[in-house]
Amino acid sequence: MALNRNLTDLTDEELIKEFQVSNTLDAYEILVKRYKDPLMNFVFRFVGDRDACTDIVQDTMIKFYLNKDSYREFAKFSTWIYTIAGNLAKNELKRRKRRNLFSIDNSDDERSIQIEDKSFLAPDRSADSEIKNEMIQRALLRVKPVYREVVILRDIQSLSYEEIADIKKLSIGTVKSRINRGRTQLQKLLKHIYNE
Amino acid sequence: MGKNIYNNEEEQFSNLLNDLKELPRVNAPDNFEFQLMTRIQNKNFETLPEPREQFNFIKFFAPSAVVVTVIILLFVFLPGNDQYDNPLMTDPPQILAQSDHENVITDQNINNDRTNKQSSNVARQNSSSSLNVAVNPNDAVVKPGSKYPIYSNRSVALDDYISGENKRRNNLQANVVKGGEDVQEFDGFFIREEADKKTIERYRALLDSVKKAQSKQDSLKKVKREE
Repeated sequence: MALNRNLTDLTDEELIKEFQVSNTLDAYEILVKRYKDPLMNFVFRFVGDRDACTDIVQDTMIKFYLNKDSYREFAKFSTWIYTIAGNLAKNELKRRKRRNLFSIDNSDDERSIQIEDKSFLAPDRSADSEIKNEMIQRALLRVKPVYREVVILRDIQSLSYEEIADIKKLSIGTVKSRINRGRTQLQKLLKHIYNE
Repeated sequence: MGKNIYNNEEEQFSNLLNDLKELPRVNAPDNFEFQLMTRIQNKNFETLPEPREQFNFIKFFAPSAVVVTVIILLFVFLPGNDQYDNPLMTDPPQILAQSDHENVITDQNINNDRTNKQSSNVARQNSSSSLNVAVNPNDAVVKPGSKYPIYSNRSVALDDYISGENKRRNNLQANVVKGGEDVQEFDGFFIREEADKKTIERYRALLDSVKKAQSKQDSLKKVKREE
């Protein structure tokens, strides 16, 4: 079936099946091309470090290559690959937490500390979207990881609630609740932006 | 992928959600695929190490605290062995005889009758009335004093039985020999009653008539065979 068509026309699920059955490396490469950027964006927003996130996405693709047979047809490929990337990203966060165990500024608990007070910025720069994006990213990294992950998946990666529920293996109600709490935390951290 | 259709719940976060959507996309570096395929071709599958399980003080101390608390409570509230008596150091348990008040009265009445009728045996009667025998675990025969209740349905006067003068009315006489906590029942002494002569003669007559009938029947059968 797949051989008769161009590989690029195949869906994700068809491609991974092709890779599983025939070990077609081209199918694997197409899937890597499709998902490297979304995964990079997701992991970067979650971890906040570009170098680390490149390593994590590389490892995700390696795990995908090595464990291709553990993928089951009934699941969407996107949820499967996001689950792998999310787990690796969480491992990276744990590793960092251990490293910074005795650091003063390592708590990611909900705090009312502002990320960056706009009064310190020049008025012309405060309107700069680049600065705003930086503040949002920093605020995002202060949101609890359990909430941060679902907020990124929903509001940045634009996944549906069902897809997030599949990735996180949670009920849709729990996903919605976590997203709401994450957004609330984020808005609280960015109140200087959104109160104006 | 889902669409960004805000519902009522999301309205309060609309500005935040718009900003999150507009965040610049972070893309993989240009050499990402090249590096990946090089790793695969070189079979360099070494990934980032798994983080070791972090020692969690709460996870460790919470169950430990519960266990210690339970042990302390057990020591505090469990009944101690203060009331334990060394059986070798305590006196042997005393005999407990059970009876009812009525039987005690009956015993006293019997003794009174005896004193009236047999004045010559007063001393013996007095002694027999108090010969309610009980046995200790060490088999020492104790003569129970008046402080122990002696009940005739659970005891027996040996002298009365030996002399055949047992006049107690209740038929369920039995002795209870009690040592410690174990109750051992003693069925008591029973006198074999001699059979009534009239009854024996009546049964013998019955047996004789049956035998006679059988012999007659046998003789009739013989006659029939011969014919």
